[in-house]
Order: sequence, then C-alpha cells, then structure tokens
Amino acid sequence: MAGAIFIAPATAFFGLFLLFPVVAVLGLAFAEWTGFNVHQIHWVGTRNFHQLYHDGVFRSSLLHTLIFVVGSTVILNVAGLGLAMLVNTRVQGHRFLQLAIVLPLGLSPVLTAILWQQILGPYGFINELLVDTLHWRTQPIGFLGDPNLVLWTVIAASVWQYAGYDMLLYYAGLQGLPKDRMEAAEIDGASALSRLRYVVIPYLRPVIAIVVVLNLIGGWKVFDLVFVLTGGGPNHATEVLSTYLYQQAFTFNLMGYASSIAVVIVVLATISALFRGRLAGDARVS
Amino acid sequence: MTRRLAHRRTRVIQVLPALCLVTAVAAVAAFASHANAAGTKTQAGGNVTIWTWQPPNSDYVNIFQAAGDRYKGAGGGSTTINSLDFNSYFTKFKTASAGGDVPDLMEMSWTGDYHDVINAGDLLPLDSYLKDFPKFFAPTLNSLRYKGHVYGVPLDVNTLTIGYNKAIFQKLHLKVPKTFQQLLALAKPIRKAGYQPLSVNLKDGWPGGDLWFAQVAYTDKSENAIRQAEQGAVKWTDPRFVQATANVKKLQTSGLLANGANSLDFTSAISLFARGQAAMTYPVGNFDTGLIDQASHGKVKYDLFAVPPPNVGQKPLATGGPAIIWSIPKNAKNPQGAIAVLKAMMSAQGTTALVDKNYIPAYPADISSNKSPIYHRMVSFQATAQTRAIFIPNVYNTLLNGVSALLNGTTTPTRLTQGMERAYKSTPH
Repeated sequence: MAGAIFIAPATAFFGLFLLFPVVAVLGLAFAEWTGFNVHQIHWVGTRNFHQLYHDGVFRSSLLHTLIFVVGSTVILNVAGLGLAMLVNTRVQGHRFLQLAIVLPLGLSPVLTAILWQQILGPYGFINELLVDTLHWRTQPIGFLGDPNLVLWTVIAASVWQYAGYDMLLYYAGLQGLPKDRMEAAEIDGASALSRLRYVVIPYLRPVIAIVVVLNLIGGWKVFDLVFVLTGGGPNHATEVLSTYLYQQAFTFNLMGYASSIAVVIVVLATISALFRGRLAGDARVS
Repeated sequence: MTRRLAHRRTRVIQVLPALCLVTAVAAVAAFASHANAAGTKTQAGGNVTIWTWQPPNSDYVNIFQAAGDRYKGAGGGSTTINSLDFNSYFTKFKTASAGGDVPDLMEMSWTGDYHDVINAGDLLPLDSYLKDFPKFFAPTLNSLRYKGHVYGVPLDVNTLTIGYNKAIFQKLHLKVPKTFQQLLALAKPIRKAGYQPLSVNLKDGWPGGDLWFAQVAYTDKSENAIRQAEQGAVKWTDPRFVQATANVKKLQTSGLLANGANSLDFTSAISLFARGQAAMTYPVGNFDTGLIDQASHGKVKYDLFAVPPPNVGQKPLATGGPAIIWSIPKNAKNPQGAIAVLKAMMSAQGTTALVDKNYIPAYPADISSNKSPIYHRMVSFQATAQTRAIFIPNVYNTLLNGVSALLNGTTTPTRLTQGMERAYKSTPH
C-alpha cells in the first residue's frame, strides 16, 4: 500500500501527460472534429485512415519523411562515428574540433532553420557570394526553392545540428574500446579499415543500435526545422508527416484526420524502436 | 523475496496501467469541473477581455487600448488586451472555449476558421447590433455573412497593390504600366540594369493566392464567380479561373518575378525592395507600408499601382477585404461591454486614430486628416477592391500550393484548377 502511494504522483503524471493524450488521439483518429466544440465529435469509423490511403499529399509526405529518416540517420551515423574517431586520436586542435561540432546542439531547431535561411536563401550568404561577388552564377541556387534540392537542404541542416550528438555518443563508446585488442590487431598487420570493421564496430554495436534508433525516432517526428525552413514547401516538396499533421489540425481544423496521421507516426516510431533489438543482436564480442 | 511479496509486486505491476488511466481521467474531470465552475462566475465591473494576434505595443493594439480607455471613461470597466501568437491563436481559443473562459471580444480570421467557429456554435450573431455601428461597406460586410447572419464586424479594410521604387523607375525611364502586358515588359529593362523586377514573398503561400485573385479581378466580369464556385454553382475549372492562372504563369515566364521568389519570405521580400535591389514589390497594403519605411529608413521613395488590367483604358482594380475583424464569443461574460468597446473603436476619435496610422476604416470616414499620398492612393482603390478570399480552406490551400508548383514549372494552369475542383469535391459542405 505504501509503495502504491509512493508511486502515485509519478503514476498520475504518466497517466495524465502520456497515456491519456495517446488514448485520446487514438480515439480521435476514428472521429471527425474541428476542435471547437467537444460536443461535436462525430464517430466516423475508419474513414480517416481510408482517406489517408487515397491522399496523395500524405503519401508524398510519408515518402519525404522516409527519405529524411534514412538519409539523415545514415549520414549522422557515418559522420558521428568518423568525427568521434578523429577526436579520439587526439589530433592537434581536437578540443576545438569537439567544441565546434557540439556547439550547434545548443541551438534550437527554430534558430538553426533561421540561420540556414540566411545562409542558403536566394539572397543569402552563399548565393550572394556566388552571384554578386564571385560572379560564378547568374541565378541563385534554389537550395530552398528547387523541389529537387530542398529536401536534401533540410537533411543537411539537420545533420549539421545533430552530428555532435551522435559524435558524443560514439566518443563515449570509444572510451570503452579495449586498447589491447586494437594493439593486437595493429601488431598482426590489420589495416585501419580492417581494425574498424573487425574490432571497433563489433564493440560499438550496442552503441550503434541505440544511436540509430534515436536518430530514426527523431527523424520520424521532425517538425520545427522543416516548418521554419521551408514550411513544407515549395508545393509540398519538403512536406513531412508532422508538418502535414500540423496543417490538417491547425489550418484546416481537421483534428480527426490529423490524429490518424499522428497514429501513423507513432506506429512507425515504435517499429523503429523495436528495430533496436535486431540491430543490437547478439552483441557479444568473443 | 518471499512468494507473498513477489505475488503482491506482480499484482501491482498488473494493475498499474489501469491505475494510471483512472488517475488521469479523474484528474482531467476534476480540472474540467473546476474550469467550468470558474467560467460560470459572473464578471463584475463591466471589464472586457480582448484577444488579438496583433503584436503588443503595435499601432493596432494602441488603438484598441485607447478605445478601451474611452469605454472606461464612459463608465465601463477596464479593458485587458491579450496579444497572442497567430499560429496558436485558435488552439488557445479552443482550449478557452472548452474551459468556459473565452474572451469578450476576439479578433477573427476571415477564412476557414471563421466558418468552423460559427459551425461550432461558438460565436454570437451580431445582426441585431449592426444598427449601433457605422454603415460598413456592403461588399466588406457581405464577405462576413455566413448562413444568413453576420458573426463578425470589420474595423478596417486593406487593399493589395504593387509598390514601385520611384528612383529606379525614373533612372530607367520607366512608366507605371497601364496594362498587364506593359507590366510584363518591365522585366527586361529592370533586369538589364541589374535590379530584380518584382519581389514577392511566395514562400509564405498567401501572396501566390493574391497574384491569382488579382487576375480573377479582371477575368471575372461578374465579380461573383468565386462566391458561386464556393456554392458549387460554378466549377473551379471555369475558363475565367484557368485564364487567371495562365496570367499568373506569365509573371514567371516573362522573368518579372525576382530570382528565388519561391523561397522568399515576408521579411526577405520587403528587405529586397527596401534595400533598393528590387524595383517593385507585391503585395503592398497598409499592413506593410510602415515596415517598408522602417526597413529602408525612409530612403526608398515609392508609390503604388494596382495590378494592371489586360486592356488599355480599363479601370485598374486592386484586391482587398477586411483587415481587423471582431467577433464576440457566444459564452462571453460581458458581450454588452464588448459592443461598447467596439463602438468606442468606431467613434469619431477611434476613426481619427485609425486614419492617423494609415488604416482604412471599413465604413465611410473623413480621411482628409491623413496627408500621406500613399494612404490616399490605397483609399482610392478601396471602393472597387475585389475579393481576395476563398472560404473553403482545402480549395484555398490547393490554390496556394498550386501557384508554387505553377511557378516551379511542375504543373499547368489547367491542372491547377482541376486540383481546386477535386479539393472542393473532397471537402464536406
């Protein structure tokens, strides 16, 4: 009894701010509601999910989110591991390098988006340099306006912000690497690439699993960076699930439809989390 | 651990989810009943709470506050103005409405939210109060009529025109275009001289829609096709709409739009014009003339012209509509106080305050006190301003995204209007 009372506040918090909203959204996904009058929630069954299936913009936002998730996860992990190994070698200036890589983490995604707008906008720093100063181009590069380029711009901005996060996690993992194994591999004539493949990565596998899953989950719910940098445009070229959800909920007042999109995001993020087990696998190193 | 303790622990873990849910529901119910109880308390003293998304200490908010002070001076209570961020405004209103704590007077959006709030039964019809206000411009008031009733009253109106840099035009010996073709022809000499022709913040979406409305103003001689299309009496693939869309495309193919217009936001577009890098900017209304002056430190001397008509001799038409709209929530604690504050806003003193700050009252008013030529230019367009609204959010959003795609070359005028028709058909109405 005493134990139950002891955990009651945490239980209430968990229930109120986590469980209840999830259950409410799940319920709303099967309803139609503008959000203005709680007495006007109408049950519509699976109509919202049926509409999702036929919604071209939803499908393209799902694809964009998938590209963002996979693209940013791969680049973040490669960059994060590479930078961690570089910093770990204690090269000259490694402390400065570490600081420079981690500094963007201190910025909010909104600030990052505004910063990159100023750098990559049609009259931003890069285009002013290329067009007005160096005269290498007559037209600005459409980093934020060219539908073929803009999604990769968003991925680049995200990688710039979060590479430090992955680097820190990998760096911590590298501290636990048995030095005798590395030395033994070096003595046996293993190349740097072989040491990486047969010693470092197997040892880091649990860390890789966690970092990849965190990147995947973060990718599925990316919102603020896209919202501020491009607004999901031009013409839905960077529309991701969260920004589409936002539009449906707060521009169109379609809370039920937006909730069904939220359910899809939760399902995808959950699948990503379950993926961790497979990725970690039997992470026993002989 | 003993078997008894282990069993007890297992039981606790098993009932934990149910315990969480029950605790959460109980907490929400208690909170809601408290909020409802608070909402049913009578507000004493005739105080009025106003919600707006205008920035605090802005000219608008100062005008609202001055009206509140006049209300207090006439025996009313005090006025509290809450400036809320527009993006979260209606979310907050939904929450306030659910909690029974709505404002007495609220700024209202005139697009989809307006109809949704009315359909939810959250607004007071204002028909019986119209006699207490000045006689609003008929088209402006009619745009706020929904299902036979008026649920919002306009305080002021705006018109959208093209602003042009007089110095650049003079330097390049350019004349204000009298026809659409002449406007398109400006692109070449302006670009040749190293300037951007027309700076438009297309990234924000709505200016793309306004480019379209500016064309419909000429292609639709009935001046009613959009309203008819909203009722289903006319298709969105009507030739008038297709022609308007094709005209918007010409803005891009002629090179008139500034480089990278698709990714220019409001600040960047104004900045481009204010720095003297763009010869023209659109849209310009009384919502941004002050910003242009501020951004250019008064150095850019500019004037306005409406998007020109197709033919010589045809009257130029701007687009416009209500700027500030006021509504009274159905459960407002002090609707009479709200009406009194509104009357104070539209009194002689309130009207003078609006005119002094370059706002155009939504009713006939003496504007002679404002000597600014820009202001008088905007007022001159007001009488014939055409609509710049589609009240079905899905169709409107399809238009905005479609213009972006049109200017990127990934859609055609016909496909864009077909998309609008599909959006209309998929929207319950």
